[in-house]
Amino acid sequence: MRWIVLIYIVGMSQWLTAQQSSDKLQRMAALGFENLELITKSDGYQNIAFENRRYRYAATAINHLLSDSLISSDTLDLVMKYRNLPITSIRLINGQLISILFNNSKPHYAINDSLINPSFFRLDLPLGIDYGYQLGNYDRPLLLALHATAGVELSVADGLGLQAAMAFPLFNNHDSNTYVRLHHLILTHDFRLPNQFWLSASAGLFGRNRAGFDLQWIKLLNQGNWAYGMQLGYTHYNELTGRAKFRQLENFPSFLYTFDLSWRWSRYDLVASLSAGQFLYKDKGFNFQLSRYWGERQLGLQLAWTEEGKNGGFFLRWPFLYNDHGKPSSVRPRPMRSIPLDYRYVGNDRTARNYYTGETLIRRLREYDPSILQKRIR
Amino acid sequence: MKSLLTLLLLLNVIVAQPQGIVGTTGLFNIPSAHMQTDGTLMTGLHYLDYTLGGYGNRKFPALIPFASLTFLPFVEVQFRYTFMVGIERGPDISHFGDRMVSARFRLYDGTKSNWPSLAIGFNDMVSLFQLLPGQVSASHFNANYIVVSKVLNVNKLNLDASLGYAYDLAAIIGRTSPKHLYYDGFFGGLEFSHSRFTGSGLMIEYDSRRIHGGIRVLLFNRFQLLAGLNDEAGFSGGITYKVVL
Repeated sequence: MRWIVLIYIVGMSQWLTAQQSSDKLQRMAALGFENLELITKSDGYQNIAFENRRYRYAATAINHLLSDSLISSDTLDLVMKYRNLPITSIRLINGQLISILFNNSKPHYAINDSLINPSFFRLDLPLGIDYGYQLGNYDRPLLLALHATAGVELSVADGLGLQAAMAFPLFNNHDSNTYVRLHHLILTHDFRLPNQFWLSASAGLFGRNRAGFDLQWIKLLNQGNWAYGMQLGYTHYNELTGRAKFRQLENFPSFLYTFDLSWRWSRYDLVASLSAGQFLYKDKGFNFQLSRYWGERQLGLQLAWTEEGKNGGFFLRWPFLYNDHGKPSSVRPRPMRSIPLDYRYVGNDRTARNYYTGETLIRRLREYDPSILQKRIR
Repeated sequence: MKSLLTLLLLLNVIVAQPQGIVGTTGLFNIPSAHMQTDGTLMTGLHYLDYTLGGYGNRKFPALIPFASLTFLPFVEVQFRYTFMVGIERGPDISHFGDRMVSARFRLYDGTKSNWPSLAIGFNDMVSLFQLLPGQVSASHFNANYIVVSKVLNVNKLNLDASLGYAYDLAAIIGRTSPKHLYYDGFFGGLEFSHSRFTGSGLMIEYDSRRIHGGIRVLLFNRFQLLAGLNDEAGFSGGITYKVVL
């Protein structure tokens, strides 16, 4: 009789746990989170892995999950993904946040067949603005080129994404981009390799009208306090309409290679990074950046010292419009995520230049950085 | 002994840090050693009387849009653009502007001790690095200074005192000195405020060249209105929006 009662209790307890977990997943799917998986780890912790595309910023998503009593009431690990690659683990014990760390599980612990609410082949249509400008000590010191942009973003498989955007001129007294043009068209494959090693490979038409391929890798140490990596790229000028005036200056292939080292002062989320090598336009030298992160806001200072000359300036990345982009669906218009600003003291120069490779895992890794997230979780 | 202790307690008062006409933290036209809250972003537009600075041979007033950021709790950086108002340079020149980068570093935080805070600052500093050939002479608002500040509180009245000295850094490091130094020599000032009206106050100061009197009002804890006159009856003032990131 004792055995029957014991088996009944164990069976009921497992059924209840499974039922609760299933309820959690259904609840998260209803909230718009994607690529949901439930994994019971060997250490007994349950992992609920999910991808957030509903909220612009990862910390906002975590705050919503932690305030939901059904989801956060237990002992479990919430694992944040990007393009279905697990990145950051948030450990809860009895509903209390205990730690946030970069995820150390196997790169792929999912079988995509078991994904709940998968994100693949759902079309995002980001709408935004793009601009170029001049602000300096010149005869005509204020010039502006303002474009509206309409894009597509599509996740195709684990780590694999396609993105493109068209630019529509609104106002321009600054440059020759006075016509509707393709802004970028990029296919990117992100890889998560063992031991905090990340790789992003991209091909297509990048920013600055450069077409070719690009490979970036980064190795994180000590939870991102240190990082080193490399960028390799080969591009050629390619402006599909053939109407850009600067073509003669840029119409040659360019091989880019840089070695990158960064250190973070986690108390202030201050990241100092140094890149050395050959930048765009065969410009060899150094580029030093000092960035401070306030959640999703990034402001920084930059110093470049290359064969093209010396330059300095500042840059920022600012959230664009509203935070809740709504539940992802087969087709979803939404505002672009953030708007960048890059100001150089010596304008329109070719010092330590790079091209835009679109949204890659490496570009967005700091968004999932435990140290930065921790300070924005209520 | 008791009165000494009372005085020491009075010295340890923290008030909302004001921001001056040049766009960085300070009294009306002089800097202080105080720092804003970490991550404070201030952006605004000020009108600068022609008597301030050496821009345009002191014939034209100026408009200065600016943004200042407390990048770290002990570092403030600023980018500012100065337009002369009323100057005519030619048919193809819409207006003529001057860029300015400034930085302040707090070396000692006196808010938790009986000593005054200590800071050093560098206004219009980029030209000193000579990014462009022969650019040193283009420095119109260069100022390099060391300053101490302390706040005294008496019956909810705050008295914020600052004293500093400005010097020619270019000469010290062997570069060509700017034609004009925004501050040159000793400067100092006092600001009076009431604890009920945080961020608002009345100022009187000497900026190493002339005396200023000013008033500031903080509205909704976000907008600062600033206005003042100097001893040549020159009016300067403006509005700033302040937010902590």
